[in-house]
Formats: sequence, structure tokens, C-alpha cells
Amino acid sequence: MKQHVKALAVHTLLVGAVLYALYPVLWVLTVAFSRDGLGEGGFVLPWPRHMSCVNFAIATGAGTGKSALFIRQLVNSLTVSGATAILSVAIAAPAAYALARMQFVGKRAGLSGLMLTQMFPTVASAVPLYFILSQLHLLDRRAGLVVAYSASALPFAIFQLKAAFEAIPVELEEAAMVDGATRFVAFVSVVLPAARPALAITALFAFMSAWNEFVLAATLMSREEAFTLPVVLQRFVGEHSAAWGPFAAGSIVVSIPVMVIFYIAQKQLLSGLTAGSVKG
Amino acid sequence: MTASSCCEVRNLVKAFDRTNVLSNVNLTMLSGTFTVLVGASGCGKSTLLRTVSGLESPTSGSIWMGGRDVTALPPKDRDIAMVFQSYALYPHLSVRENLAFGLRLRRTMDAEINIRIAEASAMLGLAELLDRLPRQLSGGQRQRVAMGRAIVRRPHMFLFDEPLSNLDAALRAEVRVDIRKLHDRMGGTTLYVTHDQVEAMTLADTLCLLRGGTIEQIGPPLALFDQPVSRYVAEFLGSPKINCLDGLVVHSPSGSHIAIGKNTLAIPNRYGQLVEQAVTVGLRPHHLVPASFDAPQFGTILVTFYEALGFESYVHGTLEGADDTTVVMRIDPGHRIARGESLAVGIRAEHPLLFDPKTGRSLDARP
Repeated sequence: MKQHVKALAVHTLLVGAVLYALYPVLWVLTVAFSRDGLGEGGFVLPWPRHMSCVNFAIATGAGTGKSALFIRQLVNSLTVSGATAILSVAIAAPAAYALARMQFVGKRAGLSGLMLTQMFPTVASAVPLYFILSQLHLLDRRAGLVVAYSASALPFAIFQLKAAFEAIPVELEEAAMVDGATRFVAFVSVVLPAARPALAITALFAFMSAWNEFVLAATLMSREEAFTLPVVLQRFVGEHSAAWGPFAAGSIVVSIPVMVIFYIAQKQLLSGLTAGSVKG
Repeated sequence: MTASSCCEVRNLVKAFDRTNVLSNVNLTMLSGTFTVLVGASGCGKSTLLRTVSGLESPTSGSIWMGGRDVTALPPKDRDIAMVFQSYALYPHLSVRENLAFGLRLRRTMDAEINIRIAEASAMLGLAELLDRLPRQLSGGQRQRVAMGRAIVRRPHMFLFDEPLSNLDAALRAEVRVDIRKLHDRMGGTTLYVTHDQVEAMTLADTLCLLRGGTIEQIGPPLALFDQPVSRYVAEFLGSPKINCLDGLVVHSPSGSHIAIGKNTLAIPNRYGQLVEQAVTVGLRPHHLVPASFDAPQFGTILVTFYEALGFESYVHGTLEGADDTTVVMRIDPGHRIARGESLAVGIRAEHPLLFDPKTGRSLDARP
């Protein structure tokens, strides 16, 4: 009996928390599916009065004959975020491994330096980045964004992977080296597979931060064809008018790829791959 | 370097942060022999093994294998296989792939890999487990996979780093026998680290007892047990521990003897002529027996505690007339002894071990 009361209390609390978190999202859904955006809907429990998909048509350009442009912008977001994820993990993994396993001069200073870069907001580097990328002829190009995003994703990725590598027993690599591997082969064939969940999380995090990033994208990209989705979305809410309906619809479209990726990756994220390799 | 020596450690020094973990260690392992490194925690035994494996590089000195200097070679080029204390199985690979890992890195043909895996799994009873992941195995099974991974490689030398310490006592005794059988069957040279003196005594052809980074004594296990060079060796080997009593060499017209408090003991012949001096007398629990014609009475102990193990019993007591020094003796389980009882104990004349009380070195006069 006591158990039931406790379970009930816990679940009530959880449902409450979920509603609290979802309430704004409900509003976004309502606005997105309403014919005239913010003007409709109940006040406490949001629900569209006139269900309509017209906002989605506007947001994706289907209604305005600009769907090719929208697809291009979606592809921009996907390639930039995907490339950022791959590049940051590819650079962070060896760096984190060296920091986790090796002793070298400047290790502590390097770690502090990485930590230091985390203290500056991205906006602070927007102007210098603009000049650098302009010199490199990477303005208005996806590669430019990838370089900028990867650079800002790296410190966190390195810290994350360093912790993951440190949790892998060093005997695994030693066993591989006795078995015939060089240090590099041991890293690739033993350490990386054992760290798969951490690699997945790190990649996902880099992907998400690139996917959501607005300030740099708005600064570095000036052609419409080069925009990423956050910049596209922002265009719906202008200085003089705010098209909340298409904005909300666009937000939902933008969220879908991330949700799909989370769904696919959740097995990786939850599995503890190192379990059972050593005693216990 | 002789033709039959498989591995030789020469003047090895290993220091971490200027502290010597190993100082000037010399060790020769003959082909096909089983050498056990034993010692207390921190004596350098694991460091020595890791230096032989190439996972640590020596501060100075050299390692030779099969007649060549391998000091600068990485582990992969030393033709060794190692079994780790934690087993270190690759978590993402099945048992089969764990076994095949080293062979694949050495570009062994698939057919050959399969033959070797079949052979090793037959030897170790792994056939049922080949498609499982390490996390699906019990501790004992993991241990066997770790050994299998070493066996399939067919290396010249096997290195074991406390491979049994994560197993329960019954399994440990079983696997201990298996390891020795495997060694005899494979014909390789084995270097084995343990802190367990039973493993050390039972497995070794050559027992090497390390203390503070140097070899305290090396030789056949029974030689270390019966003729320890120091009190440290005598105390390290044997369970229960050897009894060490303070004695004094006394010369009298009727001959020399050792006085332990009011008790007297004949001096074993091998100690030759001793001057009047303080000595430490080492008496193993099985050297003390109820007094008889063969083992004349040497004292009386007052029983304080009695342990019956079934196949033998241990009597703990205090030796009367010797400041109530505590001693442990082993007796046949048939004897019934109660706490508070007095027991006349005897000892065979050749048994006592004598050590210098200051240095702890044996006073044995033989070379």
C-alpha cells in the first residue's frame, strides 16, 4: 500500500515535470498548425481552432515556389552539422587520447588553455572569425562554418573524450600491444571501439551545437543559398512584421532531424560497452 | 648467454621519479622452465615482469631473449604473450575474436587461426563460449579466455601477472594446476608473478623472491624453503609462518648449545662453530612435535588456541621459560588438545634455522 502511494506521488511529480517542459512546445505546435498563427487558440490549454498546414507550406517554401531553396538550406544545415560532428571527433579523439594516456611537457598548460577558451562567448570571436575566413576565402561557404564550429566544439569534445578514455582500463591497450599492435593500432582497434558510447555522445553534441548555432551563421553567411536553417527561421521574424505561424512550423521542421538522430543513437548512448572486459 | 637460456635480465635498474623500484636485478630463465617472481606488495615483481614484456623500459640494464638484446624492442616484437590480472579481454569482441586478435595482427592465415582457436578451446574448454562477449562470461571463464589468447599465439615466452588473484579459492587451486599442466604441454618458458606463496611454491621450477627491488633469494622452491638465506625468506614462505625465537649460543664444558630462555637446543651441524652470540632461531610449525625419542623435549608450551583443519591441526601457545614467546606448532589431527593444557614439545636436532638477529642473514656455514 505504502509502495503504491509512493509510486503515485513519484509519477504525479514526473508527469507534472513533463507537462511543464512540454507546455511551450505545445504552444509551438498550436501556432504552427493554426491558420493565422498567434491570433488563435485557447489560452490555458493551447489547441488550434482551425487546423491547417499552411504555415508548413510557407516555411518550407512549398507555398511560395521556393522549396528548392529550402531544401538547399536544409542540406546546408545537415552537411555543416554532420561535417562538424565528424571533424570534431576526428580531431578530439587523438588529442584526448594523448592527454589521457601520455605525459608530455605543456600538458597541464594545454588543458588549462582549452578550459580558458570555453569562457569566451562565441559572439566575442565572430568578428575575428569573419576576417580570418574572409582571408581564407571561406566566407559564404559551408566549409567555413564547419571550421568555425569544429574549433568551438573541440575543447568540450576533448574533455569529454579524455574522461571516457581514462575510464578504459590501460591493460586493454597493453594486451593489444603484447598481442602485436603498435600504440596507434591499439588505439584504433581497441580503445575507440570500447569508447563508442562516448564517441557517439560527443559527435551528437557537436552536431547539435552546429545545428542550433545562429550568430556565426548569420555573420559569416550572406547569400540566401548559403544559409543554415536557424538563419532561415530568423528571417520570418523581422523588424516590422513577425510571421509566427511559419516560424513555429519551421521550428518543428528543424527539430525533426535531431529527434530522428537521437532515436537512432539512443542504443549507443545507453550501452555500457566496457562492462565485462576486466574483472568483476 | 648459454644456448638453453630463453630470457636473461642483466643488471636491470628501474626507477620511477628517482626512486629505484628495481636495483641491479640479474635473472636467467632457461628454456622450458617455470620461473615465479614472488614478494610482498611493492617489491618490484610486477615491474620486473612488465619490463621483460616491454611495457616498461628499464632505466638501465638490458633484457635478452633467444640470444638477442630486446631492451629497445616494443612488446609486439618480443614473441611473448601475457595474461593480465584483470584479464584485459577486448570488450567489443567475441571470445573467438579475442583469441584471433593477435593472430590477425600478425597476418596469420584464416585456416591457421581456426586451427589454433580450435586447439586452444579444446585445451581450455572454451568451445561453448566462442561466440559470447566477455561481459557474458563468469570470472573463471574470462580467466580461461585470457589464457587462451596467450596460447593461440604460441609464443616463446608466457608472462603471467597474478592471473589467479581475482578467482575464488577453490577455482584458484584448480586453475593453478591447469596452468602448470599447460606449461608442461606447451613447452614454453614461463615467467609468473604472484604474491601467493602457495602458488609460488607449487608452480615454480625456479622461485625468485624479491625484496625492495632486489632478488633476496633465487632457486628451487624447496631450497628457499629449507635453506633460506635470510629470516625474511624464511618468514615469507610457509603458512603458518615460521616461529622466530631469540636465542643465545652458549659454550659449556659439555659442548655448545643454544639457550632460548631456560630451554636449550642443540646446534645443528651445518652451522659449524658459532661464537657466543645472540641468534634468531627459526622453527617451522611442523618442526615442533610432541616430545619423543626422535625429538627430545626442548620445552613446554601452554596452549592458548587450537585450530583443527581436519587434515592437520595448529596449536598456538606460549613457550614457558622464554618470556612467554608465542609459537605455533602443527600436530596430527588425531591429537585432542584443549586450551590451557601444557604440552611437552620436542624438535629434531637438524631442524632449527639460525639467523643473525641484526642483519637477518642465515648463519648457515655451508656455501
